[in-house]
Amino acid sequence: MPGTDESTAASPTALSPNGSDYGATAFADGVPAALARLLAEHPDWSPWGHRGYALVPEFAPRGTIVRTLQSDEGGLALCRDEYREHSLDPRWTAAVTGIRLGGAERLMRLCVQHLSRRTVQGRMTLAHPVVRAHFGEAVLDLAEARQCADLPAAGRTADAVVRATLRRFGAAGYVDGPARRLARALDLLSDLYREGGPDHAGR
Amino acid sequence: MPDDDLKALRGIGRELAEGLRTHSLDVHEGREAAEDVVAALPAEYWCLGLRPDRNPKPLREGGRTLPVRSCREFTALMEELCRGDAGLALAMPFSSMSAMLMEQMLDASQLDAHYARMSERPTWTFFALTEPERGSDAGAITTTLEPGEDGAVLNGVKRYIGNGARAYCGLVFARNTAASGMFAVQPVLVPSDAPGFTAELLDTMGLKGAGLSEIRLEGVRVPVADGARTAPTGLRGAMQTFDTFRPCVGAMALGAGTAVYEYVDRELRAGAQRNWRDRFVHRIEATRGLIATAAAALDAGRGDGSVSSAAKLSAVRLADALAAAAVDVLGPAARLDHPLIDKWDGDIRGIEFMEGTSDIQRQTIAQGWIAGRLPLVGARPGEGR
Repeated sequence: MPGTDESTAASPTALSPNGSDYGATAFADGVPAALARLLAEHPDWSPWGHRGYALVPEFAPRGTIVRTLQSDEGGLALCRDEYREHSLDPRWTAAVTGIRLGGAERLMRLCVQHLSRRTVQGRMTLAHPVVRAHFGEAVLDLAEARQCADLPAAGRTADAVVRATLRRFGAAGYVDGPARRLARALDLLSDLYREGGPDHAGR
Repeated sequence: MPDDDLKALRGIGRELAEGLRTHSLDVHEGREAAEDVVAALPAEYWCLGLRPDRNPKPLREGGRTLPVRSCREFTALMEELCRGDAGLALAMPFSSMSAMLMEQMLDASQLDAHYARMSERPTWTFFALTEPERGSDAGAITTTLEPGEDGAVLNGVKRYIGNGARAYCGLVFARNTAASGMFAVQPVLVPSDAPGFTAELLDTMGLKGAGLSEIRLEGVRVPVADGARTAPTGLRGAMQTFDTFRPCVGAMALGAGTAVYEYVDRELRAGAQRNWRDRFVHRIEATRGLIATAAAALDAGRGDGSVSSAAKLSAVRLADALAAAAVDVLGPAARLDHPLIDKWDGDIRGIEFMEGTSDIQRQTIAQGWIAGRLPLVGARPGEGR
């Protein structure tokens, strides 16, 4: 039966290959804090992603800074070094997958706080069955992804949850604010560190 | 409008869209103002949508006039413009939802002045219903209209209002403190230079050209005594406007989604291109058919809202799927290597919130079908296309 022998049980999951849960830091303290912890604990891991880009805490830029951006908690720097185009470190990208999942759950928490302050037709928005169903599905998706050894698939789940949850903020997630900033940081992490999925057909 | 004229209208829209596209990234990144893009267009374009008897510069093709008045015409044009740039399509003065209600509310001399201004230069109006923390839950509006001896006073905040910071006037939906029941919420015409009126542009993810704004009304006096500046339609006017515009919003989503589709199609190699087309070309056609059906129903006075909701939801679902798939198919760093794709993703996400979110559309569709108002069996595909 799949998944019962010890070698499979020991496979890396999106919880991170070395047992550290950077996703937990992303959930509790935000994406910049999680990346900072990753940098501090593993200075020998390369943070360079696709096309020579890296997304790192604002205080630790590398190469040329393309632009800085604010996440919901702390700043980030989008950097580039064209000589690093093929420098992806699977240890770094695995840890970033965990950060993406933890960040997705953080966005969900922000959404719960937001919707608990809003009403629709006199009823707290968070109490509406349609809204609750969304959170039910998203929680299950993230729970499965955290158990998943297929890191690209786990990353795609994070992307889908971020997209659907940002929509739940309504127009409040469309203007500048913590939700949009966190979602943007997560979108960029996905853009820079994900592997091509089954739909990636190339150019 | 005969089919040949509709085809000509689409052609004009496509040509205008190509021009708008050249300004897309500059407007999105704040290097150019949408108003300047519109002001540089020939008058025929910013006079679009004016009543034929009030339009000094109607669109013409091959010696014939192409009025843009019906839902069928608006949806065709909007789809084509949004293939260029959805935000700049919303920067076109005709995109405002106020026109229909203002025609009911203004007296003859006010309409003369209004149309004179609209035809002299690009002129914007706003439709201010949505409020912070309440969305477009019209029944929960907190902006007040307090009648007094010299008219009435408006107090409140409206948010996510298109054209808010560049309009010369618009409609504010407020709760009349002296009324109750279904007519308590009324649209009130407000000039933007009224003391106490302020509007500020919001920093949005996309649709920058639309000029989404926050409007604050602090003791704004409006002369309602003459009865010409409010409409005794209560919320019905707003709901009718939403129903009428919903297929247009669907057309916007379809146009924006088609832009994504065509861009990715051009970027892919042959094998990948076949897969891409197989995934989406039929969905695009199906959504176009639903929008045409909804527009035809509205033009024939048969629409009840559920058909319009189906059109909008179909288009928004499709556009969202295209935007998400584009980022995946174009490969890692797609958002950075293809800034137009990243921008269009932002635009498409904004269309979700226009004229009701997808949750609301699903409920409307379900209610319409359960009540027998949205028959599926017996409906002819692509009716009214």
